Amino acid sequence: MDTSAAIEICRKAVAASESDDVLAVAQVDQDGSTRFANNAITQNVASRSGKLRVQVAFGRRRGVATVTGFDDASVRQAVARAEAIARLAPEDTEHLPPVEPARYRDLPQGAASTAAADPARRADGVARAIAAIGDESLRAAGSYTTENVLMAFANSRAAEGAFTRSTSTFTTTVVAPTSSGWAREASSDVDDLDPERVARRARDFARLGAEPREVPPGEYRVVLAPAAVAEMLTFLLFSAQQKDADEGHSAFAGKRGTKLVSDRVTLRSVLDDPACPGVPFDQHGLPSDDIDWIVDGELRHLMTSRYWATHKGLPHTPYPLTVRMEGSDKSVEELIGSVERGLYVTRFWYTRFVDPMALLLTGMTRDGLFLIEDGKLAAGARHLRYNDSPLRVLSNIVDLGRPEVVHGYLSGRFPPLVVDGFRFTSSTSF
Amino acid sequence: MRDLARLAIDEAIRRGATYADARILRFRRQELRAEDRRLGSFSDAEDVGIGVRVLAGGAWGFAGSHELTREEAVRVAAEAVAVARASATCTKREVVLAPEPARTGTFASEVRVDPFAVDPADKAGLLLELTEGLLANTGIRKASAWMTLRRAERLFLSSEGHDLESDVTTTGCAYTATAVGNGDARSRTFELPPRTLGYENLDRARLLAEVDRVAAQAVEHLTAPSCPEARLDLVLDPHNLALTIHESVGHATELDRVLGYEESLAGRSFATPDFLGGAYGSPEITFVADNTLPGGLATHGFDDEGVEGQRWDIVREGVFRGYGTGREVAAELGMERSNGTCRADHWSSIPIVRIPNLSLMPGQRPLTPEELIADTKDGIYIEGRGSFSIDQMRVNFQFGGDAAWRIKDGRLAGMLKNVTYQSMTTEFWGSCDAVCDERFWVPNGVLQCGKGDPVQISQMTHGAATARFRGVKVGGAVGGLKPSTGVV
Repeated sequence: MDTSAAIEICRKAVAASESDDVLAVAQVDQDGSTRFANNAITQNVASRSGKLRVQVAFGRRRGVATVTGFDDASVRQAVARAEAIARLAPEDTEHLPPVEPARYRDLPQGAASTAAADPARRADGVARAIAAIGDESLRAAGSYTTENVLMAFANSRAAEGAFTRSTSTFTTTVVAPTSSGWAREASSDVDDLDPERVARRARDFARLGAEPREVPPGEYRVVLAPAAVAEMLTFLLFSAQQKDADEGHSAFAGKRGTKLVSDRVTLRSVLDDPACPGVPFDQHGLPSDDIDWIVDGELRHLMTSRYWATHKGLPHTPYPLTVRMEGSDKSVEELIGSVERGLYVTRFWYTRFVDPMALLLTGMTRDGLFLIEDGKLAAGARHLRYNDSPLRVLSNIVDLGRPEVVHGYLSGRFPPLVVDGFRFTSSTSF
Repeated sequence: MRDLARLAIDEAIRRGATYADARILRFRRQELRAEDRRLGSFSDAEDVGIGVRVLAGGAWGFAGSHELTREEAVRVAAEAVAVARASATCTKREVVLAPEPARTGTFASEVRVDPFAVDPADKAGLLLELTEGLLANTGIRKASAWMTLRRAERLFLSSEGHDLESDVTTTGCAYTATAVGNGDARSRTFELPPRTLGYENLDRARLLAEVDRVAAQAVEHLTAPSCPEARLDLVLDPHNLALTIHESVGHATELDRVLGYEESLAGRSFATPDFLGGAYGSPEITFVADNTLPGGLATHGFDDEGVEGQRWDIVREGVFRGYGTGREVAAELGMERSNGTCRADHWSSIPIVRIPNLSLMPGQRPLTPEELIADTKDGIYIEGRGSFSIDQMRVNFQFGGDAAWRIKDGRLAGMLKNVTYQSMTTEFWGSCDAVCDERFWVPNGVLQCGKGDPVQISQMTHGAATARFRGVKVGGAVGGLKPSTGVV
């Protein structure tokens, strides 16, 4: 199915409804995932699915229904179910009419190579990665994934649009008897990925971390790799809701327009990055654009829903699908070289809020915590639990490095950071 | 539908598969959410499709599609075999499955009131009544309530002769009050145990009866002192224990992660086979897995490999006894039969080992929560779920709670805020010295357990009665955290 056909299905749904307002969204997913563990493929999955979501309203009474498939019966079923809910639902005081037609930015679309990647290609990539490790005493595990999305919408005010988007990742964990190493590459275009490079990097970290030393919990100067930075910023951005701030139950209450963190921090959504592009419109069909979240340490915008933006006279700033934190040209190695004594964190695991009002998080280090001595990764360290806040971390930045593409709950480009006084509170057994 | 599943299996075998199964699933799901005095969302989703899993060349292949036609069933079967052939180029040994006798049968959860037949206005009205009631309390600035109604109809056929059908309905409802003041904001939540029952599970009177208490505790929480940093006795309610069981016992005893299959994502486990027979906890601790538990969130009659629901020990009187398994990993460990915990969350997902209904068994001697608190000199009592985090080997964890009170000389002595407890799994369960009796056992559950890549969401019940743990480290998360050193 192409974008024109998907828009046509949405138009059919709009035409089929008797309601005052209609918004129809069609989504087609074509996904492939190959997992491996213990140096062999353990799972290989291909799937494709199509969903039609119809939102209708009679006055301010609203209903939403989703079905699989795009045939006429599915379209009728979705409309009928949404209307059945809307006829009986209470009025929604925050209901807004559908958006007017608009021009959308011409952003990078899904990569043809990613759409064409088949199970044989993924299996070959996994086999080459395992071979590149070249050490039978090590165990490799990981995944090679491709995701292709086509999304289209139409509404009862004749606004319509469509885009395609793709994501590919290659991830490897290499496990040695007393340590492990991890690496990942991500891009919209699967041709950008190098499975062997990823595997060798994970292997080198696993070897370097052998026989980890026990390091006492406490405050340390740390070098956070881009994946670790991205995880902390994910929780920061999850919390950055204008409505919550205005209602007083957010760490960002009263902070917009003020200096929030170090003036070395600039965080933006830049939609035309080919490796991790944004999308041209949001869930309502409103045009997307670049957004400055934090500039030179000043909080410029919080996420603001369409209703809240209208209500408060603010710009509509939806949840970002891609963000970029500005950095420098320095490599991770240069940053490590600047640290006399500290810890290098490859990534975090199981990060959760402890106190949302203080933006206090907890989590564990995983797959490579290293002791830095005299500017070098001197030895592996036993993993530690941290309790700290991204606001405190971003205020304690000593240096920033070259941003890398990271794909996770939050995708984009993130630099490695040198941070002072990072707070570890307990240790574990490995 | 049965013809399509049979056609797909036959096509896979014709193309050289040595094993094939086909699942056709129809999901129906309504999600309602009230925000303050408005119904924020009311969605109704239906999702239908087929998933075909095969072994060819000794390796797994899987393909799925939402199109339920004969042509697509044949195409999906062919694609699954092609995927398996690709997998076979990078394997160390052929996949072997623990035997499972061929069976036919049906299973249906108990549903007295079909939740999808209930008037949408009644469902929305209940949520709005709850939020209205919360907001009527002074100090409550924000109220939310949600309801989830799910139905999964499943047909499972295999080349080994399985022909099974299930029809499982799940219902759940909860609400949260947020108080704002004193430069702070604190929330309190009430959740009915989600269960595989009909709309009758959502006890309207019970939900409404707790509204004022929940609101009052949210307000009281605002001015509560912070948790001290110390080692104290903990008394944990069943709702709090459910998540601690889930993370430190449930995931730790999934055999696939123990054998390295989840090394890259969900992680591994300290509970390796050489630990079987070792001390997981004190003699007070018995964990039973039970996928036959009436109303249990993982009670589906059979798993997604056709293995029937079973009941077995994970830990018996403190001693580590067993795992949750699928057929592949059960064979790898030399088990005669899988205990049937291999489930997929969707027709497009491949089955993976999931936590079963896993419960802490009640204590054998009569003991009420009040008696347990009265017997505790210096401690903290915690209700509900808060922050939760555990390392990838399931050893070091840190949990919080929804509400907590200081215990002084056998009495609750006011609420505390920012309560966390941090421990190591076997040390923590080893510190348990009392579990209340079966009158106080509550089957709470988890509706959003994520695992796998692509991530799959599953549900399971974790029953428990209030229990006590001696000398646990509390309060280390916030204590000592200096304010930001300021803008650099």
